[in-house]
Amino acid sequence: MGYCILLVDDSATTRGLIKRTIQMAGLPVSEFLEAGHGKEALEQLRFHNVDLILADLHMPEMNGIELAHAVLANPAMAPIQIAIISAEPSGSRLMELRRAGVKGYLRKPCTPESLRNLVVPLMENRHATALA
Amino acid sequence: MRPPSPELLLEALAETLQTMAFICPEPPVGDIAPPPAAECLSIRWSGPGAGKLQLATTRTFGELLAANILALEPGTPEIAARSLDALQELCNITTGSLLARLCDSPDDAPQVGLPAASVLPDAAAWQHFVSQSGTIVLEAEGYPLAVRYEETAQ
Repeated sequence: MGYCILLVDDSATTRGLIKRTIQMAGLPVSEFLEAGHGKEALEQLRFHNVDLILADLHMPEMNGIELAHAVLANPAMAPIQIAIISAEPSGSRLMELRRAGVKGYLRKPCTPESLRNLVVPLMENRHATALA
Repeated sequence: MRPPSPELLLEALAETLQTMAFICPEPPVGDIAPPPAAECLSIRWSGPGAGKLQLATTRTFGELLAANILALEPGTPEIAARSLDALQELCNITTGSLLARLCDSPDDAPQVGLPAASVLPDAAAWQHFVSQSGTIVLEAEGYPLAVRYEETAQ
């Protein structure tokens, strides 16, 4: 039994990099879905049961913060765990993320260890939410 | 926020290349022949400090980068299509990594813009790029890689 992870980044190369790094970390993933920006991610969420969203901050159409607001405003999607993976070092953005309900933040470049440390607690959280 | 330095820029670039693609940039042995054409990526930041990072290299190095990142076999058609995307991400992550080294806390950090790409169309344009003050020229897996930062007015 693995988790379904939605990778949201306007760089296809970065989506591939994160996917490969998660695989190297040996995390239990049953399916990877991909989207190039927040609006595409919301489309994917209409058709798939996603456990965890890993999103970039800066994206065209809809950025990571707007995506988090849209997801968490929908009670049906509220159990989905959301984390941001970005090169952005700005603290004002980090505060915005917390206010938007984002559960984790990782600065690029990420290693298998740092991704594992980000993803495992979120998956445990998701599991606990599903059991409740 | 502290001002950037060539040492910190090198650290940020090396960490990014090694983590993303298992590539270790090194100082060139002897003179590097200017490539006939190159990609130039730049990204600006503003806030507590303002500036710009620029990175120039060949599209072929971008292909190597994409192949390493995505673990693709040489000759896979997807590699050429991902070259520029991989270089833009290298520029983006290197900038974030450099700025993180300059700030004592995230509250101190500037906001980073989106990467922009242009072309250095010939060897003369490459020579002009690397002749600018503060430019660091490296070799990565046999490919030329030049990087520089510039502090700008707010």
